[in-house]
Amino acid sequence: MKCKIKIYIFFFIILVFPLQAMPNDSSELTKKPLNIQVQYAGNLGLISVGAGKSYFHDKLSFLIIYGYLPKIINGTNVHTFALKTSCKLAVTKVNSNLNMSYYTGITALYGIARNTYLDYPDYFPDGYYNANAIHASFFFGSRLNFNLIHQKLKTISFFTELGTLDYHIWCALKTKYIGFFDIWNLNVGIAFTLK
Amino acid sequence: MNRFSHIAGIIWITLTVFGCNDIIEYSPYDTNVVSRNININNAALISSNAERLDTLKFALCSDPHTSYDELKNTIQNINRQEGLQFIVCCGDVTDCGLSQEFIWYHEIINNSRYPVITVIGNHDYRSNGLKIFNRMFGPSNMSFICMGYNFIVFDDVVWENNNKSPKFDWLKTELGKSNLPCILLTHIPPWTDQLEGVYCLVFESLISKSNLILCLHGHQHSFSTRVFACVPAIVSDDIGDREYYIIKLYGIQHKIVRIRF
Repeated sequence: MKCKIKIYIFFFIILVFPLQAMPNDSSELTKKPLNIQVQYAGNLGLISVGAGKSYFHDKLSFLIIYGYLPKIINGTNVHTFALKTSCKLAVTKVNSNLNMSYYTGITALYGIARNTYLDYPDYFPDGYYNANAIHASFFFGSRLNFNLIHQKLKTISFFTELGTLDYHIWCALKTKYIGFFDIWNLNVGIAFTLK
Repeated sequence: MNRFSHIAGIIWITLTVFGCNDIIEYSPYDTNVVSRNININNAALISSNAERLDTLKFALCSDPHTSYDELKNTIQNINRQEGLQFIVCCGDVTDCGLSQEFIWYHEIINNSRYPVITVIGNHDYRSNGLKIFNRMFGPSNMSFICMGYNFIVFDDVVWENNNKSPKFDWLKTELGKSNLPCILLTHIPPWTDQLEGVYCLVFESLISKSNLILCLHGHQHSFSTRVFACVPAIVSDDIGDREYYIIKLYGIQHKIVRIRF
């Protein structure tokens, strides 16, 4: 029961943040350009694809992502559904068509693998384990943005992110053995902003 | 904003350069581990030892979970002990069965002076843990012979194995294989939680008809001893409590030394 409450709170927070940021006027929402990204690695699978929108002059963005790790890579299939929230920290302008932006954020991920559960089968006593199908991933990222003069594309960006998992942070905080630099992993990707 | 962008850039570059041990991680549930068949290799090493002594001495510990500092201290402490043949870790070497947890556990036990045999625990089954365990350590059921004793490592996890029965047929065959005195190593004591009832009765029946002289377990996070099916059983405390044991076997007798540090 406790476990279920934690799951509901987790998803409530993750879902409420994007909804809070959305404009009240629905026409304003449809005006927002669509962001599409393709990512390699980074706790979301071998390859993940996502779509979403940005708000507050592109300072805050939200993406819904699906990632897949096929069995052929390491012998196991993993499907991942994620909600990625990122917040722009700074921008370095190179010229009018090129800039570099830095951002941080959190991804709530739901993984479907062999023994992952949101709600455990009845033969487990209540509260025996926390749900292991959901995790939060924290990241810092850097993005090289090219502004385009194109009918449909507004910008094309290449990004790299350093991310870590909630559980790894907990291990690093709990023990001296796991150092701060032991818990990060890298992902790379490409993103498009449509007009 | 400009100064902030420089700071953000410096932080990002620092993390990129120093921040990644295993730089690419596809998924927390991935089964990518480099080390393979550690239990099989260590069992072969233990069995190949032709030393003839009156007493067999080995160390027992259990349930490190994510107590990495304590596990490291335990290994360092055991390394200072003389005349041991091997170390047994009675399961739950992870909390969530994630590959990174197995890797951290292996990094630490790799510094052991003695070969380590790892028993699978219920936590190690979580996520893709069984698959990782099989890759990293070998089959979860195995046996090896050391100085005339047959050590049987038995996987008795039920709930986390989709509520399936442990492989009692395998255990029965192993117990009947030779006339050597046997020592049973399992994570879950047969009289506790997920084995209560029918499985406990099966254990009782198999143990009472066998050459078992000692059963060693973990799971309960506190030290206890008892007699189960006329065979002495020892339940190890967890490593987080900074405790391990030296087991001495001579003939069919045993002696346990409890070490706290």
